[in-house]
This record gives sequence, C-alpha cells and structure tokens, in this order.
Amino acid sequence: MPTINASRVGYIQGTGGSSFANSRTDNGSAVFDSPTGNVLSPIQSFFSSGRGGGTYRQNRTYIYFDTSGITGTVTSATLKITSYTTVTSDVIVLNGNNAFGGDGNTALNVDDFDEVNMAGISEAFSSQFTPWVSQTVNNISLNSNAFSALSSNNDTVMGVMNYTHDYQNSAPASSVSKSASIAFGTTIQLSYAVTAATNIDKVNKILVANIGQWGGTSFSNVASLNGVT
Amino acid sequence: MSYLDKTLIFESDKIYYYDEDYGDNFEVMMDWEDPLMSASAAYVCQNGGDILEIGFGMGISAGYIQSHFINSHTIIENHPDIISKAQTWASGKSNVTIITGSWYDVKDDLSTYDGLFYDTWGDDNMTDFSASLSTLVKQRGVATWWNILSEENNYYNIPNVTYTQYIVNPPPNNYFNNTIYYLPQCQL
Repeated sequence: MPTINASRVGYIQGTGGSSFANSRTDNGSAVFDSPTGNVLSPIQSFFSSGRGGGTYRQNRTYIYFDTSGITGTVTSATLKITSYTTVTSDVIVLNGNNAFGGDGNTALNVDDFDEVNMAGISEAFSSQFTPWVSQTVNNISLNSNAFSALSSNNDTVMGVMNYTHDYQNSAPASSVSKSASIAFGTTIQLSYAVTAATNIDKVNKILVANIGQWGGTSFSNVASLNGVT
Repeated sequence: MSYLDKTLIFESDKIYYYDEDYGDNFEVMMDWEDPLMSASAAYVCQNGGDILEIGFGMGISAGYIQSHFINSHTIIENHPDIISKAQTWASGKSNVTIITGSWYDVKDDLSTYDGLFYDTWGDDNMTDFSASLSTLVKQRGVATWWNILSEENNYYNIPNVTYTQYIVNPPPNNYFNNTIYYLPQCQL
C-alpha cells in the first residue's frame, strides 16, 4: 500500500484547572511544534483530586499530511504511530480540521487545542484504539470519514486524543493519569489503498460501483474496457 | 503514584510537590491563605465546644482554632510528611487529638462536633463529604470547607449555605487563582 509521511506533527498541553469541561475546550497552555524526541504524555487525560476539587488537564497530538497526491477513492487507511514507553491511555483519531492552519504551513498554536472540536460536532476518523503498545508501531485503522477526507482533500489534519475521558466526555472520579507516549523521532506515517479512478460510469447500464468482478477479475483491477480507462 | 506517595516539600510560604505525570509542581497550601484560615477558624469556633479539623496542612487554621475558647480540637491528617509535623505541633496541647489516616476510613469512629473545618488534598472521598456532614456535626453546629468556586456555590452541592466574600491576591498556583474567595457557612 502507498505510504505518506507526516509533513508536520506537534502536541498541545491543555490548560489545567478545576473544570473538566473547560479542560477539554479551552485553549492550550503550551505547544510543542515538530518535536523530535521521545515524549511521555503527548496524549493524556490527567486528574489530580487536589484542594477542594482537583485539577483536570488533557494533552492532544496533531498530525498533518499532504494528501494532494492521493488519486482515486481511498478504501482503507492506517495511521502508524511509534510509541515510546507509556501505555496507559486508549486513543481515538479525529479530524484535526484547521490545526497547523489547515494546510501545514503554520506552526501548531495553543489556539489549535480544540481543533478536534469537543466544543461542537467532532468527526471521528477511527474508533477507540486500545491497547496502546509500548515501543512499537501502533497501527490505527481509520474509518470511512477518514477515507472521504483523504480522497477529497489536499491537506488532511488528524488529532489524536485520549478516548475514555477526553473524547467520551467522562470526568475521572478519582486521581488518574492516562497517557500514550510517542517516539517523535520515528516518522508518523499514513498508509492507504485506493480504488483506481475510472472514466466508466456504467457497463450494460449497471453502475460500476455495483460491479464486483469482470470476467473473474475484481473490477477495481480492470485497467480499461474496450480502450476506455 | 498517589498523592500520599509524593514527597512533600516544605518551604516557609508553602507546601508543594512535583508531579511527574503533570510535569509541574502542585502547591498543597500557601501562606496567602492566612486570613481565610483565620476566618474559617472563627466561624467553626463561634459556639466553642468540640471542633473537628480534617486536614492539617501548614497548621495555620489549627493555630487559629487554638486561639478560640473550645473544649477539644480533633485533627485528622493522612499524609505521612504532614502527620509528623502535626504531631510535633500538638505536643503539649492538652485538648488536641491527632488522628492519622483518611477521614473517610475513620469517620464511623468519630464523635459529633460543634464545628467542622474540612480542607483536604488528594481526597478521593470528597463526594462523600456532604452525606457525612449530618453525622459529624451536631444539630445547630456549623461547618465550613475550602471552596474553590468563585461564586456563591460549592463543589459538594451542599444546600442552605451562605457565603462571605474575601478579597484575596494569590500568587499563581495550581489550586486557586481567583481574586474573591467565597467562604461557605453552613449551619446544621
């Protein structure tokens, strides 16, 4: 399958505070654009039951891919992230919308913290991914929302966040630190498969999309019919 | 690693620890709270009698409670680094009893009190506090607690609470950064 390297990555440390809701939607408190080393908690949901309430904080990672070279319809895709050591968090991939300016030309900013849009309507690019395995490549299967974005957009930004607390909007009841580490020194990649683009809409009045095989060959592998590609 | 496993750092103006997962310091208590501790102590000691203080911290409120006319002063503390300081502080004070451990674990062995001041850190039984009030405080007794909310409301959803506002100017910290403290006043 073809593979694209992430053009830009970074993570944002959320703003700690006594409100779980605000910890998910406020701007970040610190940003780390283009890190290159091992980071323990670029994805994290943290709660310390401190003084008369406690402190919540979320960390989120954003990844930009130049997807202008993808032609055809994406039919499968996998996000490949190499972990470092911390393995306590499950994760989910979402549409990262306009983080990095949306086109990868702008450094990640604290304002980008909620580009996964927990304050509004988010778009999941995967289901819950668990377990996050240490010191290996974690292959996260993406879903049809991601296929559509990769097929149609020249720029694709993904946000990766904690699933159980941050994404699910479920405040921890007791002190907890759920983290997923990333070895940023290993390039984050996107692998995908496409159905070749075709100029043929119908064969014998049957929509191409409804034709599985042609003469025993998967239709997606048929290069041309009667000279028509 | 839980709060009770953290090594606390004691400085003249604060108690804090470093949290590896958070990547920053957590202040447990700071001396800017002194007027609030004084007011809290005055409130819970207004009827004298037996006073229960959950959380010793820097001992500021304990000192103020001792300045009032009270019969007894029971202090519950669970952090090992603070327990030793509380015991040293209590030495020679005949009406002070130090109970070690979680307030929730020992609550069924406690008496009932005329005044209660609840101010804990890293307390995973905070949500049980409101339900325990009526068993810890005598009828017509009074209670207050550390209030992080910058409004006339409280984290514990305790009803029929009045509030007195105090202007404060805390240095940046991880537990309270408002300029008005709403001291809760609850009479049972």
